Amino acid sequence: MLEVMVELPTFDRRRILFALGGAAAGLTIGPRLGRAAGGELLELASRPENYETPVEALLERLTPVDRFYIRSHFDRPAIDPAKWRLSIGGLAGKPQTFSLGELSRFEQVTVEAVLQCAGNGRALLEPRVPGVQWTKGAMGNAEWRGVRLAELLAAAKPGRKARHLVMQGADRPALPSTPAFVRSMPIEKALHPDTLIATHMNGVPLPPSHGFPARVVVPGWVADDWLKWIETLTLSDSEAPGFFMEKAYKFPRKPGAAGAAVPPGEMGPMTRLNVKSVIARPLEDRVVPAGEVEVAGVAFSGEAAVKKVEVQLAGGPWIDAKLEGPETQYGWRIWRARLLLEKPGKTVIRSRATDQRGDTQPEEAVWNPSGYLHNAIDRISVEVRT
Amino acid sequence: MRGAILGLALLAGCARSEAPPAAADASAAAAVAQPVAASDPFPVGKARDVLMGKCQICHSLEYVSQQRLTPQQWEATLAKMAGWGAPIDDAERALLAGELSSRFGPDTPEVPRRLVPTPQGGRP
Repeated sequence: MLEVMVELPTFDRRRILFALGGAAAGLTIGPRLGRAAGGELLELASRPENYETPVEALLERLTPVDRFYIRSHFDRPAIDPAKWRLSIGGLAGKPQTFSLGELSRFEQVTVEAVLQCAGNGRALLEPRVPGVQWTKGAMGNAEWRGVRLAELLAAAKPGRKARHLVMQGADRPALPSTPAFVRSMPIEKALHPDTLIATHMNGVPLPPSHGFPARVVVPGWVADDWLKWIETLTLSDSEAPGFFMEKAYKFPRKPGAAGAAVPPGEMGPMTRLNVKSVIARPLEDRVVPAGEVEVAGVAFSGEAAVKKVEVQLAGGPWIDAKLEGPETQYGWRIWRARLLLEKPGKTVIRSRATDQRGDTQPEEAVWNPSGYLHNAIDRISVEVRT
Repeated sequence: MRGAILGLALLAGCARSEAPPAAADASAAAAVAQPVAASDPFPVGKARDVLMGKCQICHSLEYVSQQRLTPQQWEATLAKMAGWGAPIDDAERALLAGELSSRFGPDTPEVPRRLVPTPQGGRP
């Protein structure tokens, strides 16, 4: 008898034991497990902190904070909130520093947006590439609350030549020869009304692993610009120098053959996320009873709402899934569909999202040497048993 | 391969032991390729000494054991690490390149990720 435990993403976290075997498939409700405070994550590395959300836990409109993926380049800095300051300088007519208290006096706004690591899905590429081997869970959806970056920059009076905003957080490499994590974004995106210096996620202050006391939030864009533990913003006429802007986080302008090197001159910075859907239920390699099964997951795009999600069984016709919840520009939506599984044996279920721009997921991931922006049509394999 | 990674990542939710899964086939190659533990991926020996004593200055060793790289990719990675300050000499680099290529190459089976309590971040 095969027993599989699936934790349903419901707030009461009842653990249900599926007992499958023989001719009868039955459900028994197991005892409610006394859960300690705090969630669980899949460990990619304990140091620096790199953890991804189990796929089944993605099936919520807002990812619970204690199940939200964590990505870090270096050790988590210890920050005294009373002493923390955000500095804005460089090509600024009136350089500024803000304490947390001073930030709180600006208008507080909330933006719902997906945060996704550039490398989410890297482990799914062939041939393999070096880096943290994320599968599907280096992403989450949250309501980010804080201050419009544009208002802070306005106070600093950017000079005419300020074309880029250079950003650095409080995190530092362990060794002096390792480049620090410094990024920049174009001034237009920094001034966008939805770009925030956020202090809260899903109603709670940012936990230390998520950037306490403040992080940059760049809705619709890849997570490499969402710097945690933000401290220093510098208005500049050029992009940030250094490894993490010049070499890392670049994507081929014209992707080539899988496994082929790409000359640096043919790489450009990543900006907005691409359209993506992920199947959160059923889980990969699950045994499912023949009959109707619910397929569900999440879907989103960068700076564009999801228009539709379709699902496919065993290479058959694409069927529209139902999208739930409000349509937002940067958040994700849960989608659900029902499929009739009749034929016993292994079968493949796929999901494909299309956004309002008309972009859709490709059949195969766009291979690139760093393993970024994996957004191939999602697929799972399940075994149908009668 | 892709299904194997996802299946194993999910199985980690059911089996939280540190012990690696029993190899489906008992071939010597498969046995050698399994890490002792993701965070302690080598048996006692010189390579382990370097990993523990030098690579761990900056990062834990799951970073190493989750890779599935060709010998050329391992050499490039080690060169990058040395450039970033890893105190490894040429002999240690060559040793690691050989050992990591054989233990964590493209054909090495996947190992489940551990499902662990969310780090609570300590006091800010």
